[in-house]
Amino acid sequence: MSEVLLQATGVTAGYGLVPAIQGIDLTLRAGEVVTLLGPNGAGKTTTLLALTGLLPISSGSVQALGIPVKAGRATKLSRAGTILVPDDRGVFPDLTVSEHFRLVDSRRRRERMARVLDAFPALAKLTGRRAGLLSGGEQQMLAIAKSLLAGPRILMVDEMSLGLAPIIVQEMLPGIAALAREEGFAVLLVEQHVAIALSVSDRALVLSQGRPVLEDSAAALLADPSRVETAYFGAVSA
Amino acid sequence: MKRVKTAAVGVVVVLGVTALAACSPAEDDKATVKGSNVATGDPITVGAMTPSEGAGAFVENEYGLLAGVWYVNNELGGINGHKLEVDLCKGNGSPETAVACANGFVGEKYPVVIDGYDFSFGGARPILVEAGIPFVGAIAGDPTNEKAEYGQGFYWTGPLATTAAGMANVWEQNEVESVHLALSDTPQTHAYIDSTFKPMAEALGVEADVQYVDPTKANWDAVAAAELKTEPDQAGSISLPEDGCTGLFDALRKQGWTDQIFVGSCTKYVEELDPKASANTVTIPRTWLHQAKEHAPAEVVEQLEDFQTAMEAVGHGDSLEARAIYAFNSVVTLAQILNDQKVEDLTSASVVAAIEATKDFPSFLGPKVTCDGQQWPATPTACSNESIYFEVQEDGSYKPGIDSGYAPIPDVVVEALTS
Amino acid sequence: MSTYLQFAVFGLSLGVLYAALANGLIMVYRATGIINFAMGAMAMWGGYVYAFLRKESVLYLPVGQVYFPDDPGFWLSLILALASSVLVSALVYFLAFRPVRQAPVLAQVVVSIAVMLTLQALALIRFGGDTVRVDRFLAADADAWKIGGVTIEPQTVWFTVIVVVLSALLWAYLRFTRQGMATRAAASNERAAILMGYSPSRLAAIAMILAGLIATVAVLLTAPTTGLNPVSYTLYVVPALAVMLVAKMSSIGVATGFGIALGAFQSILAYLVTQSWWPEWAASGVDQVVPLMIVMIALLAFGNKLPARGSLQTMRLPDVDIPRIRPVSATVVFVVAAALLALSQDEWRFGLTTSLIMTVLALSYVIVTGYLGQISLVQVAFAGTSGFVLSKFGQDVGIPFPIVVVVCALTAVVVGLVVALPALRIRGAQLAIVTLTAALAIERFVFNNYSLTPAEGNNIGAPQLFGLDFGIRQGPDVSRLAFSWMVLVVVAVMVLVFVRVASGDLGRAFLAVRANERAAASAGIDVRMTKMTGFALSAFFAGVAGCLIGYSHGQLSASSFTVFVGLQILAVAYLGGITSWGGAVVAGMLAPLGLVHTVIDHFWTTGNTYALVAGLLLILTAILNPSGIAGATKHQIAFVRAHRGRRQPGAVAETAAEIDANANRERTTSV
Repeated sequence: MSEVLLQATGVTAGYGLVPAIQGIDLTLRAGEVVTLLGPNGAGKTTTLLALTGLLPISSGSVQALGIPVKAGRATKLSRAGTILVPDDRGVFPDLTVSEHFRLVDSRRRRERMARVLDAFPALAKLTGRRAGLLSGGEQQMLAIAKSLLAGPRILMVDEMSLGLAPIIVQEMLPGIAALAREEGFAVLLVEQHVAIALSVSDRALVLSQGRPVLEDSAAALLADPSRVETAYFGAVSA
Repeated sequence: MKRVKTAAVGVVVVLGVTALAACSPAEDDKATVKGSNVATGDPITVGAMTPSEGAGAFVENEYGLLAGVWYVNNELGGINGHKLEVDLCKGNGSPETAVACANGFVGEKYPVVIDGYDFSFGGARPILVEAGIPFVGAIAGDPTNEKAEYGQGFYWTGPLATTAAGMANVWEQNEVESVHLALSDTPQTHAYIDSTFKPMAEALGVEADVQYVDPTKANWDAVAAAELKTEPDQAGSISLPEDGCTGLFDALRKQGWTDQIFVGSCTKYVEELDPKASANTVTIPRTWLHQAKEHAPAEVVEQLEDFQTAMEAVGHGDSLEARAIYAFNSVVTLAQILNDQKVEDLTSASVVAAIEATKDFPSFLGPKVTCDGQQWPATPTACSNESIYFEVQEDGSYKPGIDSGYAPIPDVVVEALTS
Repeated sequence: MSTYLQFAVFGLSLGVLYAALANGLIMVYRATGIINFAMGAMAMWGGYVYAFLRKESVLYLPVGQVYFPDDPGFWLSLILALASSVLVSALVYFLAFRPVRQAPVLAQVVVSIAVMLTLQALALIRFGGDTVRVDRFLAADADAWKIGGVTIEPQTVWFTVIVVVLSALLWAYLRFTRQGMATRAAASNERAAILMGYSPSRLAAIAMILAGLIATVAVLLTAPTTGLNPVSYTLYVVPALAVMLVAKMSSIGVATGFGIALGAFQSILAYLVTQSWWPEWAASGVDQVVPLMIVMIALLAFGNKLPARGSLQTMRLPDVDIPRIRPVSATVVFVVAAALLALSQDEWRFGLTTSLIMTVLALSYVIVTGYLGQISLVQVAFAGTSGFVLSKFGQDVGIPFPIVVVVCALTAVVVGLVVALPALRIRGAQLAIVTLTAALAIERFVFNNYSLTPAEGNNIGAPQLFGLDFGIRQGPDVSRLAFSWMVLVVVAVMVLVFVRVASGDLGRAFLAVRANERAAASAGIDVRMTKMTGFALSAFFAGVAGCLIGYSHGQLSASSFTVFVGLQILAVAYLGGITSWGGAVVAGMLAPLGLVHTVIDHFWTTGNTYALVAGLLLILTAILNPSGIAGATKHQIAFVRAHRGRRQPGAVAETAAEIDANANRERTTSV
């Protein structure tokens, strides 16, 4: 078994007194790709925010890369290698593509730069363009590229396929998964496109109304899609 | 709960910071020195206000007032034997404080209130006037008080406009034909220029240019340059705050002006600038000054020494500035007039009557005082139309322009102002 | 021509200061989203430290001082001055700005204003109010150059070059260094910056320190020309704000160029004013009108294109409780107040009456800021304008009381509408800028205008109605009951008007505009009309208060309505509670010459500490308790009621849940 990079136990978090997620257990190991599924409002983004220290946890615990995760530690966690690509893509409209890369604070940035630009040739031609002027797909590429540039140890991507043509997603996701296995970092995907996500993942966790309702290997879930469907509507699987 | 704790800590911090920041060293002890003619009778209390706090404060006014009170009680034998006590309200430049002070004075029913040259005293005027309590002083800090009706207030050295009298004398003596002077930009200075200065200059055939400035932020180099551009015989200021004077004169000298500089009633520049720069300047203060000692007549020298003794007695022997003398003069002249007229029962009415009856009374280090309301056009509070001016020497001493000191306003100017 | 050039050169010292202050403002804004009204006050601190080290060999810290045996000399003094600047910037950031980084713009502006007030008051206490001269240290003995009829002092060239170079370094920091880029990045998307491993808070602190340093250097360079004065230096932020707006709050290059140009222009203008052809009525305070015009033009031209910040807002605006007219308790309060007035005497009655008058003034803040959510710093100038007009109409034209009060208040309304014009298109801190600039312009250009003020001052006679004298004083009675009761009636009427408006449709429209202008518009509310009405109403209240102040003083002085007085009243209005008429009553008690002030003055003296305490308490209040004292009291009362009424722990949680449930409505939950 490879190294555990993130361990979440019984995590409950929310906004004010209303919990948005309850009782989330999650383990991420090196080289693993895990998908978080669920309908709108299930608490997927909330889970990501809680795991990265952007949202306070009201009960339960999370350890990421040996650091106990608490609200206010997001900067520290980012620097340690917990990289989140948020649903708004996390790009800066006024900065150029190359300025985004420059912002990545990592010792191995220069070595990795060539590899990353290889993986995203479209970006290599846009280095002088402001991020605000890029298309949705180009922005998403930029978001992923700069995350990879940072040499993540845990990469979390929130709704990468949002606003992107499926074919682009089909090209990018396998690449990320392959990189993860090669370099030994963990990936946590939050996705609406069940099939595409499961096809690159090792495991999946389904959330419904803030609670985990189904967890299994991706292969098993791909074999029987009806299980995921039922889980979406709240039934607890056997 | 956390909020309450934070709030409590915050309040404690606030109070602590305030206490530390605002704590000043303890006030000097009351005078223990005794003079030669000590008052022993029941005390009489009057009100007084000095600009002791806030932006634009002058603490020496307060010191001068206290010294004056000491002098009255220790050298004049009080007011007809009664010990004089002064309820000093510290002004801070805001009219609100003046109002509060005045309300307090009226509440205590003081017979008279001393204006210690406080420029916010205008706030007190309506209240004192309504209550029938007269105010007195050497000079009005707030020019609106000069225009009070006859009997409401009295200023021993006359209105600010008597500076014009001095100016006229200076121009005549030095054969000045053109001037360019700066002054603070307020409605009152505008009124002074239009109603007094310009007519006077015209009457004397002097070409007069005037520059209004905001003294808190003026660029003195620019002001000086503007003055020198018109190539006058005399440059300088009519009325600026002390630091403004210093800044302007420094700039004038630096720009190569070696002729006479007119300084209005500023006096601090002599300490700040080097002697060569402050020589050949003309100042028109309200009273004789300490720096004039070596050129003054004998009786004035004696008064200057008495003043110094009094200031030392109250622990401020190092504050012998002009404003201290003005405040000193405010209270001492009052006491002297009341003694001279032998006013026994001090009420507002008796005080006013005594003052109104005064004629050619020599005030302490000041001009002759006549409070008949006729001394200056349209200014019933004026008790004098004389002025005194000094030329600063190279050694920093002040030489009076006219040896005897005070001189009255030239007739030609009176005609110009009353026509 | 060479004359104009000469005066332009003279204006470089101020121009360089404007440029540096504006650049400091831009740095702070880009890094924190906060407009630092205290920029001038912060910058002058280092200047004072330097001046007093050279003059008196004392190192002044914010609290306490260190004595040196001798003059430490130029270099050590300079280093200590710059170190003080760093210290002040860090303190201001961590104690005041950082806690409100995620607060609504209202809280941020209030904190910024409070810091301005606090630092100015502290400087006044520590350094005194006189202008402090600073000896020249740059090329002090060098001769001036003469180029083509223009005399240029070498020090002028030096300080211009230094400030331009420092500005260029600042620009380079933001443009090329990683920290600078990250600062820019955090401005557009704070969360993304965190996710890339940056601490927006640390970046902001660095930006503030850099801003403070460049501003302090500029103060040090230019202080020898004008001297150090706590009032004027604090207010230099106003033209700097104008420059910042022209630079669209982001361009350091434009700010540098325009700032220097503005200084040169003002100097030329000051020269032109001395010419005989310049009209008399326009001679005073022209240099303050220029920034106002620039601000208004800039805002009208590109007000809605100015950058907004993509920050994580988590704090709420102060609660508003819709008031109701309760006839019984209102009558009781009225009768009690009347009785208190009758039973008190002299200074106490005066203090109570003044408190009532100030309640009306505070209500104008409640309307425009508490309800409409607009930050207006010009309310006190409205009051002054109205009182000013009263002193003219009362004597000269003879309009009878109480109609004259209405007329004067309506004048204030007209001025209010003119000022409100830019507000219709903009919101947030930009309105604070334009109202502050307007307040200063009114103070200098109108109140101090020779053509409008007679030599004997602005006297105001006693109000009379049907032969009855309602004047405040008569003979030795300094606080007549007739006046106090008249004031009480007027205040009661104004409070009733307020409650009626607040509880009606207009009040709800105000609140909707306050919460979210776009949402209000889409709900069918005419945002423009609502804003104008709110401004007009608040100006009317301020105008009524101004007249009453005039009557109570007997004469009007510009010093009663300065910018700093306005800031102090804003402070007590916020402290009392900016969202309720109860808060306005508390504010009235705390206001200058009000009851609390009278009590303190009676037993100790307030002196300069009043403004300092007001500023510090305002910082605290804005950070901790946006509802003010009245709001806190309301909470306590509700808490106690809930506790006593049902005696069940669940009930308490219910009430608390009620209160906190409001928090959820403003938050947008994401999946």
